[in-house]
This record gives sequence, structure tokens and C-alpha cells, in this order.
Amino acid sequence: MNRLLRYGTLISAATMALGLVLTIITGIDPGMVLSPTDLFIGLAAMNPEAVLSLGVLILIAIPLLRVISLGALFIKTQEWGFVLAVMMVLGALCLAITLGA
Amino acid sequence: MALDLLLMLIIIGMVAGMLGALLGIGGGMLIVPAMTLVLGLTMQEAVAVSLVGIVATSSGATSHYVGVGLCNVRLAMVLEGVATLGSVMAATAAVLLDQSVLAAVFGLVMVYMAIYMVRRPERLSPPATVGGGHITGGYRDPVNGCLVEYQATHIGKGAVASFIAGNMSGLLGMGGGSVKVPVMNIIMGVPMRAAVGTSNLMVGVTALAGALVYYAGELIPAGIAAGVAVGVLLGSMTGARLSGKMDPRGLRTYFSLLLVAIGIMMLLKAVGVLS
Repeated sequence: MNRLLRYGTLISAATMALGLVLTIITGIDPGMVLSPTDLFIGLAAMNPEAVLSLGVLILIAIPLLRVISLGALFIKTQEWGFVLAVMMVLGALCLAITLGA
Repeated sequence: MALDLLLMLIIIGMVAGMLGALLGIGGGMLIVPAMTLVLGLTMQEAVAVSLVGIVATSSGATSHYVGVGLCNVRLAMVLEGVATLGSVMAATAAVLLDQSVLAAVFGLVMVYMAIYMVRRPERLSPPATVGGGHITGGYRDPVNGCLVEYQATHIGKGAVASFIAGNMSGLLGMGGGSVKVPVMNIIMGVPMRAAVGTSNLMVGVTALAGALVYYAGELIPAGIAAGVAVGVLLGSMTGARLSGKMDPRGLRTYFSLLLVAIGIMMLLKAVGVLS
């Protein structure tokens, strides 16, 4: 889990830093908001907005991957009570996406 | 984006990240006022940026805390189930409730908790009674090298507090560590260092729930969020390393002072002095 945290954080930081450099060079609005659909289209064209959004997306994905990795650990050690706790967290996160959309 | 704006975002993020990692909180109470009062963002945008910053604080610091054994992942997951649910429910309800009333209640709770922590000493020994189930943990103290073993007790009370912390997180863009740390330490008997380390993992997951609501609703200003997040990552990594060299009692004093500051800020916001 520690490796996941470290590498995930480094990759997101590097992606966001690249996006920030590109936004300074191109002078685009830092307050822009990209939809998930626009993100993939923008990445294909290497738009600075899309690179920034990807960095933010990787960053917020780290805790999710961390929870999933803990769930896998508890399944491996057969600690079913803690597996249930992880399932509750994942269920609440799914609810968050549904309500946000 | 102008270079001076980027530098300002990184500095705000660094300060929030360092304090967040040192005190086991997300840093949202610094990011939200900075975004609204300094940069003129709407409350909704500020909360979205803050939640991304809190995830960054947690990610930057937790890798350190997990590495040195100060993060109790079992305790974190048990409490986080209800905290995340509380955050999602509160974020959904926030649009229907008066923000000034919520801010006033939050401010009063923070001031009360600060007084409570100052009046009652940090729990350094195990609790006399074990109730409501328990989870064990241990770590090697970074200051004296001694092995510290503990039982986190009163899991039910901790879960209720975590649910409330999740509510506050969803409403105000804060990680909720300002509630989780004192409850884990004073009520559950978790040593301060382990409470701070465990809280760092928890606030990231709680903030993720809110951030997902905003991301799915296309409400995160990516450029501003990224600038703050990069600063937060730098600050939180530094803060986590500094925390091992500080006395827990000093850490708690700083924490209590911070709670008072948050409380006053929220009360001023409630009466309209702060916009």
C-alpha cells in the first residue's frame, strides 16, 4: 500500500506540474472545468486543461485504490469484519458518484 | 494562468499541507477561507478545491505514517465506513440547509472541543474499562524508540463521532480530522501520534467522497485545484517528517489553538463578518 501511495502521488504531482507549466505558457483560465468526456478528447489533443484534469483525477483516485488494496489485504488475511467495513466505504463512494452525477 | 497566481496557490497549499500533516487534519479550514477571501472564489468552488487539497494532504502524509507504523488501517476502515456515508449524506443535504446556521453550530462545536482538550490531559495510558469492542495497534515511538502498544476502545462512540465528522466534511469542505483526532485520543484511548497518523488516512477517504460528488457534477476548477494540490503535497511531506520530532503534548496545544481559530472564523462567517 505504501508503494501505491508513493508512486500514485508522484505520478499525479508530475502530471499536475506539467499541466500547470502548460497553462502558464498558453495563458488559459485556471478556473476552467472539464467534464469526464471532454477530458479524454482533450488528452488526445494534449490540451493543458486535459492534462491538469487528469492530474487531479489521478490524485483523487489514490484514496480509492488505497481502500481497494486494503480490502484485498483483509480478504487475504480472512479478516471478514474488516472486509465488510471496506465494502461499506466503497458503497458510500459509489453513492457519491451517483448523487453527484 | 499568471505566474504570481500559481505561486500564491502553491504557498497556500504548502501552509495548509504542512499544518494538516502535523495535526492530523486535512487543511481545509485554511484552504476554504483562503480561496473565498483572497481569491474570491464561490463557496462551492472553494469547497471543491479544498477537498482535492485534503486528498493531497492525506496522500502526501499517509505514505510516511504507514511506513513508520503510525497509521492503524483496521481502525481507519471501521470508522471510515460511517464517516464516508456521513460525508455523502451531508453534501447532499447541504443545498437544502442554511449555511450560516451550519457555520454557527460548527464554530461552537470547535470552540467547545478546544476547551475540552485543554482541560483534559492527553490520554497516555490505556483506558480503565474496555467497552464497545476494541482494535489493537502498535508502533515504535519515533522520539525514544520504545514500542507503544494500545487498544482502541469504545468503537461505537468512535463511529458516531466519525459520522458527525463526515457530516462536517461534506458540508464545509473539511477533512473532519479536527473531530476524529480528539475522539480517538480522549474517548478511544489511541495515543496521539497514532490518532494523528490514522486520521491522516481517514480524512483522505472522507474528502474523496465529497470530491467525487463535485467531480461528477463538473464543479472542480482544475487549474486552481492542481496549484493548491501541488503545494499541499510539498507541505504535507515536510509536515509528516517534522511530526516525529515533536512532543505530543506540544502538538495537542497547537491543535487546540487551531480549533479555537476555526471556531471563531466560523462564528464570524455565521454572523456575516466574514463573507
